[in-house]
Amino acid sequence: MEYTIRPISNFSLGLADIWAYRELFYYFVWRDVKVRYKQTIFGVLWAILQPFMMMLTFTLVRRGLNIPSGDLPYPIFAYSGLMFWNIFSSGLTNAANSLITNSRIVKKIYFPRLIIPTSSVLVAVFDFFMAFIVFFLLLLYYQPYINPFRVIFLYPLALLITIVSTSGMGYFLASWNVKYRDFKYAVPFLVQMLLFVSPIIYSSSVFKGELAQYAFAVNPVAGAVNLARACFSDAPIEWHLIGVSIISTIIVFVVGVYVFRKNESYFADIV
Amino acid sequence: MKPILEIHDIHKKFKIGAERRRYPTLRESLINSLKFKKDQHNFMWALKGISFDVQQGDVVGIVGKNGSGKSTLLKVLSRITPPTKGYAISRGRMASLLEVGTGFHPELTGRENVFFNGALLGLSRQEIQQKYDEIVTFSGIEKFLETPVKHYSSGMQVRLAFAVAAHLEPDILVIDEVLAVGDAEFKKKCMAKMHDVTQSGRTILFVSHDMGAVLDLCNKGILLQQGAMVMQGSIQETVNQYIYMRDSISSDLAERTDRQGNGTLRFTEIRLFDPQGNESDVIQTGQSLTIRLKYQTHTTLNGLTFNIIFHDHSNECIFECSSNMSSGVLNDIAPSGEIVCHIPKFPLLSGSYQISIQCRAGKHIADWVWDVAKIEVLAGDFFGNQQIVQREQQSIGKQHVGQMAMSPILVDHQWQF
Repeated sequence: MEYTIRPISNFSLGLADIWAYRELFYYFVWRDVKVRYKQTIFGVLWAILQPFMMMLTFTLVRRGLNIPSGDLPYPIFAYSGLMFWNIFSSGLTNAANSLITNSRIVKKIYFPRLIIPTSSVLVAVFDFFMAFIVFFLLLLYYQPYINPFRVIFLYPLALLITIVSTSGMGYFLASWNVKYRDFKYAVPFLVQMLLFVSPIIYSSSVFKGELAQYAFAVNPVAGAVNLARACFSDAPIEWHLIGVSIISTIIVFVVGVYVFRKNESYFADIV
Repeated sequence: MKPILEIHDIHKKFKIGAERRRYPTLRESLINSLKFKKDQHNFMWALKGISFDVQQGDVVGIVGKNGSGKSTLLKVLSRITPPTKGYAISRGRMASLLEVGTGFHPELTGRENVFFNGALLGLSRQEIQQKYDEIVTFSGIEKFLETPVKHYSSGMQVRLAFAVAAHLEPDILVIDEVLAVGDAEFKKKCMAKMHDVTQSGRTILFVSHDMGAVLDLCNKGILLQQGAMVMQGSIQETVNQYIYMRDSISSDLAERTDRQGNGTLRFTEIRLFDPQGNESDVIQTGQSLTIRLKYQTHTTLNGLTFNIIFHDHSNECIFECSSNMSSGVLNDIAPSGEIVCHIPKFPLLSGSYQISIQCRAGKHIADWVWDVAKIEVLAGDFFGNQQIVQREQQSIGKQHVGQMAMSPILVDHQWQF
């Protein structure tokens, strides 16, 4: 095993290095999941309680408003959106702060730094699977129509879009947060704003006009949530809009990885 | 055979001054980038062209004063921070231990931390599982493994952390000053373990201020001074040179460049006086010591506190005299002047000690210089009862004269019977 230590020159992904340290993904997620629910009464139940309470709130609020949810019962409609939204919101917030919360490790031990924000997102994915238990119960209770083909192929795709876009944005914010703590204040604000432009409590069909729909689809979460909901109907999927979401996911990821890798080597000096 | 580690002309540049003390805000950076003339940053070369080869099986002690670049060199070699210039080639799996217990999470139990810390240091899950029992036995805290680490004493944390680190089996092991902590007995155990590691033909780079440990463990030495390598040779020669250098530098404080802080105030002179008012760096236990510090400043400073720190040869802080604890903070001082600290009864037992001085202005460190003076303490009468108090270990084999103390420091007290 021979390697050279030299000044930063060319851009590289460092995939071989990440592969060599792959076990650390598991350990970081394991530690964060363990630590998060220590000294709590409900423990891991919190991962379920949060989206569940949100769903109840939205269901109640909806009685006053007139929000169409298509053929789906509204609780299922809201919950399916919220599960994906939670990956995005908590994954992004944690990833953005991850290098700072782990600054002691970053300053003293070498390993590919991309592992840190990625693990933060994976912790949110762990919560997703916890929350899925309640979703499963909701499905049993309401017995909506399920398109099995779409569940097998489109549901994982929706999850993939969410993870990849959250990670990409997380890399970007994490590396800037190391340098400028302004981002610590900007991130919760950004997440809140994005909730309003994502089809979580409403359906994206409320937008009329082709341009508005395209603009809306730039948001990767919109694409992911629409795909997930499509699993419960036979209505044709608007692939041109999903395509826009996928393209923006790829752009966000590539930019995020690039910015992160560009700045990575100096994290230990300034964090 | 090719050397296991080749280091070629490594340079490392750091930003220093006020910029380094706090985080830049986005607004400042934006404004700065719009300015026609950019704000000039102060740079400091922490490493100025270090080159050497390490052969497999060598145990290299890296010595030098604080700020000479030892830790930066280890950070560059462990890939934590990249060099600014130069390169190094490593031909083996490297593990570095720059701090004991990095990554220990207070909420996790001892057992959980062993796994997480081991993984961070580069052990695979399988390796940790295989060595787990051995690690636990070595740490000697079997009973507390299911207790969260936050309830551990610092000694227990060190034991557990070192136990994990001691069971790493890399080709090259990089160690920075980690043996400075822990009790004497455990230190001995650690040194024994390190000897085992060297016996098995592994390569070690070792940084320590404890010359005893360095001499005991290493066979080769490298001496750094202000970021440059001034010597490379056998460990005995290197340590001799280091001790000679360390004892002869305290002369010109104003010229020292290996200082920390934002530089708004600078110490320029330190002088020590015995009870008779003669300048002297030799005093007796229980005598008074007066320390006069001269400084210069070019701005008005408020909330000033001064701190004089005494430490022993292994750099462990023994006690400090802090102006804000005893005499309050100082505002609005003259651009240059002298401040005086008086210690009525010097509490340290015979031996030689190093002095570091520090000045803070509010929350910022203005100036901080290590090892500005050395003080030689002779056994003396501390309690005013005509009894000479001595360090116990120094009298072994000799005739017992006066009182024996086990601790390095005495505290004024009375007993009632």
